[in-house]
Formats: sequence, structure tokens, C-alpha cells
Amino acid sequence: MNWFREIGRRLWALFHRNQFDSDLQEEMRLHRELREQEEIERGLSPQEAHYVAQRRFGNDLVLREKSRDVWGWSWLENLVQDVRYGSRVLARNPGFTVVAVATLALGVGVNAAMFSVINTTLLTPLPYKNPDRLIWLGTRHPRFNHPIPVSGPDFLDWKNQNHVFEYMTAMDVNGGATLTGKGEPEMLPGALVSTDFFKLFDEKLELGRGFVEGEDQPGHNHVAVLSYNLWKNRFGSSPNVIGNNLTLDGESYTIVGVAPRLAYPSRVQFWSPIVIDTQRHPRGNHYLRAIGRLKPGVSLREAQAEMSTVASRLAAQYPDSDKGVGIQLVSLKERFVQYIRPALLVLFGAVGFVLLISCANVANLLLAKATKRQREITLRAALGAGRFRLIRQFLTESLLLSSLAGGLGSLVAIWSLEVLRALKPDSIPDVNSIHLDLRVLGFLLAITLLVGIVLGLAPAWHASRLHLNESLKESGGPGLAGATGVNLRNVLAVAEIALSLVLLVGAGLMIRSFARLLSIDPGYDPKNLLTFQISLPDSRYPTHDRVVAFYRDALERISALPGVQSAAISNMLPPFGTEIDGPFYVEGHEPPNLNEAPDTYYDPISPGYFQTMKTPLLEGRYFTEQDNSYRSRTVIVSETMAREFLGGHGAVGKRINIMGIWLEIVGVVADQRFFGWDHDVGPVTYIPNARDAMSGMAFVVRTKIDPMHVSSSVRRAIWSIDKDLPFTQVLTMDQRLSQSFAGRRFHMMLLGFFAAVALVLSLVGIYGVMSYSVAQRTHEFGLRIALGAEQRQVLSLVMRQGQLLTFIGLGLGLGGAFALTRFLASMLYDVHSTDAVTFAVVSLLLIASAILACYVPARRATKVDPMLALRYE
Amino acid sequence: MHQDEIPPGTLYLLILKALARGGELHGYEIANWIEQVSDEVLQVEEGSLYPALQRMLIRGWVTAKWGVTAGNRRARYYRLTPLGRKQLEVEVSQFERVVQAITRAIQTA
Repeated sequence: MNWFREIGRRLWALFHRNQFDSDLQEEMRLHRELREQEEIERGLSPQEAHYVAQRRFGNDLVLREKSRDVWGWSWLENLVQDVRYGSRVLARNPGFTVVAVATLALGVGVNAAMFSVINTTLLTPLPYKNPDRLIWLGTRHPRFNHPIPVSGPDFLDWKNQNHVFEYMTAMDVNGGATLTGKGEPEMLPGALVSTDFFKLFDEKLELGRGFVEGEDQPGHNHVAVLSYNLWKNRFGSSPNVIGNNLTLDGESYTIVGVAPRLAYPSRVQFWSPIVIDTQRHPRGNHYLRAIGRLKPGVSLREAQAEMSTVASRLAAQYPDSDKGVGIQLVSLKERFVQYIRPALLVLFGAVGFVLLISCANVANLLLAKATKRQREITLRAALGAGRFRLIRQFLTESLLLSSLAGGLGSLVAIWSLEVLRALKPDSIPDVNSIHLDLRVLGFLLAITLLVGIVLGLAPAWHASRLHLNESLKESGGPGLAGATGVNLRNVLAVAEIALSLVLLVGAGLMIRSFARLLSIDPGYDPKNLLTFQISLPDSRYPTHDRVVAFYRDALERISALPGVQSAAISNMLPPFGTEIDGPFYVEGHEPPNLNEAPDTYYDPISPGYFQTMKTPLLEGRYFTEQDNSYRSRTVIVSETMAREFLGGHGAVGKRINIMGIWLEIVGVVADQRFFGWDHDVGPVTYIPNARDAMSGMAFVVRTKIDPMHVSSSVRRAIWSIDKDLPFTQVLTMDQRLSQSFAGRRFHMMLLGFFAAVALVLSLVGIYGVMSYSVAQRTHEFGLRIALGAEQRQVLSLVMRQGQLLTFIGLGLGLGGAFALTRFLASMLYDVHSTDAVTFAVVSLLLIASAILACYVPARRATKVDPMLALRYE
Repeated sequence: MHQDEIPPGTLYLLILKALARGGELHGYEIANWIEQVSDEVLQVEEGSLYPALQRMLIRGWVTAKWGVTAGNRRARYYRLTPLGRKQLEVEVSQFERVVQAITRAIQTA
């Protein structure tokens, strides 16, 4: 307990410093006076006695200092002193202080903002219980290079044959449904899930219950759990919704519960039990997502091993569908972030560079200032300030600077996140949950301190190498700068150029790949196209004929509308769509096993689809109304399909087999870009929609006027056939395209912004170094001019120095970019990460800007008045 | 008269001993006591008592209280705490150990 009281006594002393001091002084004075008196009594003269007492007592000041040190607060007093002095120094140079603080605040702020994105997206676990044990399971299929969903029978076997999962649940997220009977019909995204779905996530429901066993049987499955948002928006958060009815796709569902606020998946509005119908969806029909919760203590690796065993057992048992099929396990978190992680890390690296450059800039300013303060520093050193004390003084000043920058930087971070939220980039999941938490503040504090220390060390190191004598002897004017200062500043300028070149190359690559993307021929004309989705409920459109009749009727009515040129439907719609695909083979190339057959996307369309999309016909003919029947056996294939599987030209007339039926190719059309422009085009087979009537279709309407202007008359036309049909994704094709580019454009813009900031900062840096160097050499230039040097010669003298720095920086930067841009590779499209054109263009840009930045100080050098310069001495 | 610097580290010991003998003493009295009992052999730089006293205050070995001297002057009187008394024993035994060791070293010719 004594140490505790000791701290108390020390604190007491801290707060009673004045009394402490005066007590000590009084005590010591008494001591000396008593001694003096005694000496006088011994017979010394008062003067001698005074002297003896002084001598025996020792140095009063030093002793008092020592006593204060004992209480352990002298460091604090020194600190206060340093801070006061530092503040005065900063206040005396407001221009410098503002520039330095603003530069650093920008660097620190964007770093904190970027870190908070990473913190929320990558570092924070999923907001569910036991997030580490939640696993996503996918099918690894020999025909695909990415994991695909699982079939119903396979899922049931996975679930029943493993011993590592506590729960495993299937989910069909295509289970959207139309809500009617409550205002306008609305298409609600929904998920059909296994009955233990809510048990798997182990979250308490907001209201009511999750599903129970047996509700996954036909006839018992008309129960629903509402999402928190649906409950709030459509039901006014009423606690009495449990037991009420919900009309989905014209059928009545009983509401049994309300999901917790954060439920998986976040965009879903309702959950219903899934009925796994193994007759209708046999093995090989991959449509389910599988999620499992590991038993406690089971590792992902163990689970993967167990599931692989299950997979090989199934492959042996059902070779027709499961041969070569594996199971891939990924943690749910990883599944969420695996696509965004590379982009975030690249951007984080970019802001790190920005911070480094801004530090280099400020360090340059500090160094220049330190040189100006050389005499002050030397004087202080001569008066007895130790090297450590001087370094501490510099550190205090730079920490003061970085703390100001850190404070301002937190505002920059908050503001950046505001901007980020306003931009709402699709590529970053759940942008609204990004916020500054303690971890971000810790990060901010850490980089602020780090920046302060690094910045302080540069001038401190410089000052500690001063030679007292030489410095004191120097004249008051700008004499010869310490060579070390100049060298360090040059090094910093070179580093800035190198760093910003790396960023510029990164941004250049992104811009170039974006330009590549925009210049791709999408295979259709995106101008003046209105698109929307319609999904017909099975309950009211139970038969093939009813579905076909609806779409025929709808297309007729829409085509007749004023402003509309033509209308068509397609199951898949570029640039992103749902995918239906399956194995096929060409006549004469039958594979031994369907799993080894090639794969084609499969797209039912109305006959006028290509004309409406303006997709060029390469061979044969388009569909006609005669093709559009249930008995039709004609297909059109895409260019890629023809090239890869049908020997290029002459595909028309060949026959392919899909699902056991022989179909004749009547035409070949240009490739359309599905699934985003940056995806490689796959082979597509188009069939007339009346042959395979699907209830969910996308409409494309070619308009003569602004597509959005016809959207309401199109709506009315559809509702005149069926007033309970909802529209989803009513967008022009241009809007769909810009959505599909949003993530890429966002990353490009961010990286471009950071690169621009870096460029500006480094130009300011090189400008500063050159200006300083010209100012230092005023005398020399005056002399040269006086001796007959021409302006041109002086100009080139300075420019050469600047160019030397630029080229060294350029060389290092190119090396760095060469080494680092490979991390960008996954974000690039059709541009190699060491693309020579980009490297060259960016280098030229940097050289040109650097020359400009050097030119201004170089001009100044030629304007030196020789008389003035010489008299300066 | 020949005077010796006190061996380093023994200042606390001497102050503690002074206070243990004398009860309440102020700085000057402590200095005089040390000088007198050592027959003026041990010479303290008198001022150095004060940083030492400060440290002992922090450690809680002594307490201080302002009082009045016989000559009617304000002085700060130090007094040993129980903790200080314990510390004295520690210091004494430590010192004796060191002295014995040194003595042995010297006598081993």
C-alpha cells in the first residue's frame, strides 16, 4: 500500500509546488543563518562566517533543483516549458504552421478514414453470435472455376452425413414474392430457408418465433418471418402482427415472427421455410446456398476434410451428377470480404503513401526552419543545453504540430466518411455501419505520435551534428547551410517523387483499364433503353400457356405506346443478370458423361429481342414469330459459343443437345456482356421464350424519347392486364451500366484522388527544396552573374539540379511501381499491371510537372541582382 | 583536522539514526549531530541533506512539521515514522554486511 500513498504524496507535491519551493527555501536559509551565527560565535567576522556557511552548504540552486527532481515532476515542468516554447515558435511562423498542419491533417485524416473502412469491413467480425463458426459451403464443380450453389439432394446428404456441423441450413435467395393487399403491389426480396435457420444464427427474434420442424413440409410451409424493416415500414412496428396474414404471390402466409434487426442476409424482407423437392430439382440442379455452424472446437480445416470425404462418397454413389464434384468451405466473413479485400488494401497502401509524402514535405519545411534556427540552437547548446535536451525540444515542437494535425485530421476523417456515405459505393458492404470507434481513434493517435516523432527526429538529428564553433563563427546572413541538411532535404524530395510516381502509376492503370472497359463493344446499343423486371406468381399463372399469353399481350400493348419503338423480353439482361446454365454437346461430339460436357448460358427471349437491343446478327437469321412456340426446336447462339464449340463460321444448321433435346442453330449473334463488362463473355444459347416459359423475365423497351418518360405509361399498360403485378429494377440501360461500373469507378476515383494529392504535395516539396537552395546560393549566383554568366546558364544550372532530383526519384519510383502494381492486378481490366504505356505517360507527366516546379525558383536565380547579392556578405 | 566525505549511500542511514536518537530535529540539527557523533570526521555537504530528506518524505520514512526553534525561529522538524524505523534496521544491517565484507577483504593479506 505504501507505493499508493507515495503516489498521493507526489501528487500533493505537484499541486503545491509553490509552497513546496518556499518551504525548502526557508528551511535552507535558516540552516545557513544558523551556521553563520555559530561561526560568528566562534570568532569569525560576519563576512567570513557568511562565506564559510555558503561553502559548507553547497550550491543552493543546484540543491533546490535536486530536491525538486526527487519529487519526480521536473519532467512535467520541462514539458510545460517546452510546449510553451514550441507554441511560441509555431505561433511566430503562422504561414509555416498552417501549411504543415494542413498537410499532415490531410495525410492523417484520409488514413484514419481508410482505416475505419478497413476496421469495419475486414477487422470487425460479423454481427452474429459465434461469427467464427459460421461457414459458407459451395459446390466445386469441374465445369466452373468458381464455387457454385448446391443441389437439394446433395444438400440433404451433406447435412446428414457430416459430424462437424451443429446446424446446416439451405437457403434459396431467389425466393422473392409479390406482396399484395397492402397498397401498391411490391416485390419483396425473400429467402426460403431450412427450419433451423434462426437457430443457426442463435439470435433472439425481435418478436414471435423462428420456424419449427415440419414447417418444411408441403402444406405446412405457409408461414413467414418478417424482416425488422418490413415490420417497421409496413406494419408500423405493431406488436400484434404475430398470427396475422400476409399475401405473397396471391397466397396467404401466417406471420410467426419478426427477425432481429441484423439478420442474414441483410437485404431480405421475409423468410419462409424451404420445401426441398428432390423430384422437381434433382441432383445436378444447383440452386441452394448452404450455410453451416461448426460444432464448438471444430476447425475449418477439420470440417473441410470431413466434407471432402462426404463429397467423394457422393461422387462414387452418384457418378452421373457428382463425379468430380467437391465441397468448398469458406468462413462466412471471408465470403463477404474476399472480393473487396484487395481493393481496400490497395487503397490503404495508397493513403499510407500520401501520409509518407506529407510527412516528407513537412520534414523538409522543418529542416529548412532548423537551418534558419541554427544560431538559436547553437546558442542554446553553448549555454549548456544538452543534446538530449535539444532533441526533446524539437520532438516537443513536432509532436505539437502532429497533435494539431491529428485533431484536424479527425475532422478530415469524419468528413471523408460523410462523403463516403453520400457516395454509397456498392463495392463496400454496409457503408452506413462504418464509423469511428475506439480502435480507429487508437490508430489515429498512434499515427499522430509516430508522425510527430519521425518529424522531430529529422531536425534533431540535423541539430545534433552542429559544430558549435563553426556555427557561432558564421555570419548572421544565410551562409553555407550545413551540408547534412541539404542532403537530407534532397533525399526527402527524391522520396516524395518516387512515392507519388508509384501512386500515379496505380491511378493511371486504373484509369486506363476503366477506359478500356468503356470502349468495349457491349453487343447492343445501351442508349434509349428502358428495362424492368416482372415476376409472375405461380398461383395466378400456373400453366405454360398463361405465362406465354401474358408476355405476348404485354409486349403488344407496350409496343403500341407512343414514344416506344419496340419491346422485348429476355431472361438474362446485361450487364448483370441471374444465370441459368447447363451442359450441352454438339452433334457428333457426345461426351461419355454429362459432367464432362461444356457449359452454356441458357436464355429464353422473345423473337424481337435482338432487334430491340440492336445486337448485330453475324450469321443466319433472327427468330421470327414462327419460331416462338412450345414445339420450336430452333436456337440462336452467341459468337463465343460458335467460335469455341462450333468451329467458328458455318455454325448455322448444326445441331446441339440441351437437356436431351436436339436443337437446330438458325443464327449467330454478337456477344453481349452479361455479369458485368469486366467478366469474360461466356457461350450463350438463346431459345424462343414460348418454348421454355419462365415466370420471371426482364423487359427491354427501345424508346424514341427519354426512356424514363415512358415508364409510367408502360406501368399502366402492364397493370391494365394485371393490376397486382409489381415492377422491380425500373432503370434505363445507362443506369444499369453505371451501377455495374460503380465499384470500379469508385476505386478509380479514390486512387486518382490520392495520386493527385500526392502529386501536388511532391511538387510543393520539390519547389520548396529548389527555392531554398536558390535562396542559399544567392551569393553564388550574384557572383556568377557579376562575372558574366548569362541568364540561360544560371537557369540551366538550377534546372539541372532539379532534374537530377526528379530523375533519381523517377528511377526509384518506377522500380517501386514495377514491384507494387501487381497488387492491383485483380482490380485491372485488360491492362497488364506493368503496362508500358501507362508507365511512360505517367513518367512524362511527372517530369513535366517537376520541371514546372523547378522553373519558378530557377527564374528567380536568374533575377539575382549581383550588387545586392555581393553586398549581402 | 582531517575530514572525510561520507561513504556514498550512507547519508540516509545517518539521517535515520539521527532522528531515531533525537526525536524531532530540523535540518541544521541533523547536520550538527552527524558531525558531532563522528568527532567531526564525517563531513556532509550540508545542503545535500535536503534532497535526501525530500526523498525520505516521499518514501514515507519521515514526516515533517513546521515548528519554532529555541531561538524563536520557524523551522521544519522531521520525525521518524514506523516505516522509517524499519528502514533504519534494514540500512544498518546492510551497512554492517558491507563493512564486514570490506574488513575481511582488507585483512586477507
